[in-house]
Amino acid sequence: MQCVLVGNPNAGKTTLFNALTGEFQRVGNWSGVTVAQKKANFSIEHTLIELIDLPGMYALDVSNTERRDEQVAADSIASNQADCLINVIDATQLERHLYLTSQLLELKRPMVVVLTMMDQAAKRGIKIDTPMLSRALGCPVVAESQDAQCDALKQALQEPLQVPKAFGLRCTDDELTMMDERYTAIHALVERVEHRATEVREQFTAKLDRVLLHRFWAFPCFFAVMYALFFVVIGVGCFFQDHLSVLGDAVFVEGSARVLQYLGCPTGMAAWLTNGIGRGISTTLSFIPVMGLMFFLLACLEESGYMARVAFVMDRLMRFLGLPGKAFVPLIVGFGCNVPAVMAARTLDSERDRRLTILMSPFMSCSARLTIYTVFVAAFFPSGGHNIVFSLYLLGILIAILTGLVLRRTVFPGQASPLLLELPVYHWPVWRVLLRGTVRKLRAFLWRAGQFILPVCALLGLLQVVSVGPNHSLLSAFGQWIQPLFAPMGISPDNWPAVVGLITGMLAKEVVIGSLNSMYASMGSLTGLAQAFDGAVGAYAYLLFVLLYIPCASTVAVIRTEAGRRVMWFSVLWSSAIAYSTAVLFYQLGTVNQHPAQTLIWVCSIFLLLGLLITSMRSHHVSGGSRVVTTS
Amino acid sequence: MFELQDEISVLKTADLVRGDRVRLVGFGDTDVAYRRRLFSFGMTRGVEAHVVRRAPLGCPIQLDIRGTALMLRAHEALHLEWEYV
Repeated sequence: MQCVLVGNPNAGKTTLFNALTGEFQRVGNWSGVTVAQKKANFSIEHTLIELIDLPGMYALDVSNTERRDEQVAADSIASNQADCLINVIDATQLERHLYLTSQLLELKRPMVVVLTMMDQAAKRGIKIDTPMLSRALGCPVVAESQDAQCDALKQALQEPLQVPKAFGLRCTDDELTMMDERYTAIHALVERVEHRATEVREQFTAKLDRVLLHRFWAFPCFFAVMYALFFVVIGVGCFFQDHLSVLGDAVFVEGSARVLQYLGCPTGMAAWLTNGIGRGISTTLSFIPVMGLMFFLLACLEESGYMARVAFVMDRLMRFLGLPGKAFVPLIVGFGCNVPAVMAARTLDSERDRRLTILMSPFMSCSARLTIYTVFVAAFFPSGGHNIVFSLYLLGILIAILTGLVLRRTVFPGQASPLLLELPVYHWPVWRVLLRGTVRKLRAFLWRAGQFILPVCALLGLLQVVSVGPNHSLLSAFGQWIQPLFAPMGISPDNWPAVVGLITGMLAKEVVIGSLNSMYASMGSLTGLAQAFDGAVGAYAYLLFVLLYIPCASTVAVIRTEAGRRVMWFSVLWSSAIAYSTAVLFYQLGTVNQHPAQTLIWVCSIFLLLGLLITSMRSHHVSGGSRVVTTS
Repeated sequence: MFELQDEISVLKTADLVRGDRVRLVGFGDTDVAYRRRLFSFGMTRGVEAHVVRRAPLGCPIQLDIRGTALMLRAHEALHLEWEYV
């Protein structure tokens, strides 16, 4: 038997999906978390049921201009011949969600209605007469609470399925009259089945919003939340990271070296295994506390419902970029990882908004880049390290804004799409779900990072062991060959490992530290690192480059699948140009006392380069029409 | 004279102030795509709304419509016509 979950965005479809199938899909307290359909199987009393979770939608008759995820959902209902539709309705918003239901009824397909958030409804003094609703719709209606076991639904699915009866609406050609008609019918139905306590208790959400969305306090609250997030991740996370990396080195590098020596392993081989693979494992494992905290706190924000408030508070600011406030959500997700950020851009209303957001989100400093900052901060900025990291995050945001502005004036002219968004009620996060989600993301991160870090460390270790001359490894030769390109941003000829780190970082930014570690290993890791760069200025310039240059391989791949090859290449080129310019500008201005003339030349040429690039983008739009815009 | 008075009593979205209790009386020149989205959020003719607040920078506006906290931008909903309840 095949069942499809259908419902408005944020109705609790994915929560129900997880509860029924035992899968752990991503759940968030804002609209549009599910962007592509998911399938899983479960069984009730030996009956195997295939369950499909669709993205949320407000109506069946979506036009082409509207949201893409809604389109996906509407198309799949039209084409799919599922045995049963499971319509998920948020009990606190019965009237609004019944609009979709009334359209589903007209499909004349077996249907079961599930009312979710019944506990929330009860708290808000809403009582729903489910038997009466069931009689009116002509199909079973079951009620579930937030942390439900879905017994009632399973029971309903076992009974013979019923084809519901549609509302007897007068058919007219005029779409708007039809809609008005539909809502009038729904309103009449809701009057009968829903009973609201006359004196609804002052709600927690309203109280909290009075502060968090306050005219003066909203922005301080928002930035306080962001700052607290980074303070916990950097302050607490890095403390544990330091200790874990000491422990990891002791076990995987020194420990394994002893064991290999004891086993009589050849020296070259042992050096490769310990400094390559051993250090790779140690590096990967040391990320656990920082990443875990980051994932956990971001999930808390999503789950609690604060993310939707961000869209409300930030809307006016984002309009400055020609983007809806909702675009802030993918950008925020970008702080965790750019890959889901690019995916989350799907929930935006227009193609233009999506592309703009996709091109902006890689500048959001993802958690992988954080690992690089933490190591550099430990080496160069022993006190006030979190301020340095915070400045990098802010700069990433600034560059994203700049990118948005430039793109809006050149390749993507036009207005932002209209905003209509609901603010969900605050949920107290379900810690069990949150913890499992964090563990799952952490595992995925370690797996993905490990997949890149280990082979790259092994390869680099090997390249270092293979020599092409006296004191010249294969890697050193390559690094030295392209080093002059990076000289203007303060990378000296001796510091070729930094260049190699950047090359390997294109695969995944996590790798940079792994490869730097294995290359500086001979000099004693942190001290080697500290001596290699031109002090704090050189290190900061390098961090700027790492922040801004080409997004990692996975992000580039997702940009390609979401927005097409042209947008992908544009993203790669644009980010490289911006990274190089910013890093060179910072280094040259930071060392202006030592060589004013050279600085002047570099600053001028950088501005010339950027000017040329932007002009060519503008003419690209004028002459080539919307070449970038219309790729599918 | 009667027409003049009628015009005075009609409120525009931009005129809404925090705490107002209003009723939607017309859509004016609102374009069809936007009107459909308004419908889908339960904003039909005659619906009552409570203006909960404006965002810190003055826009968007948070409305309580049939128990849903809905936010919309004043300059996009500019054609909507409201009256005090």
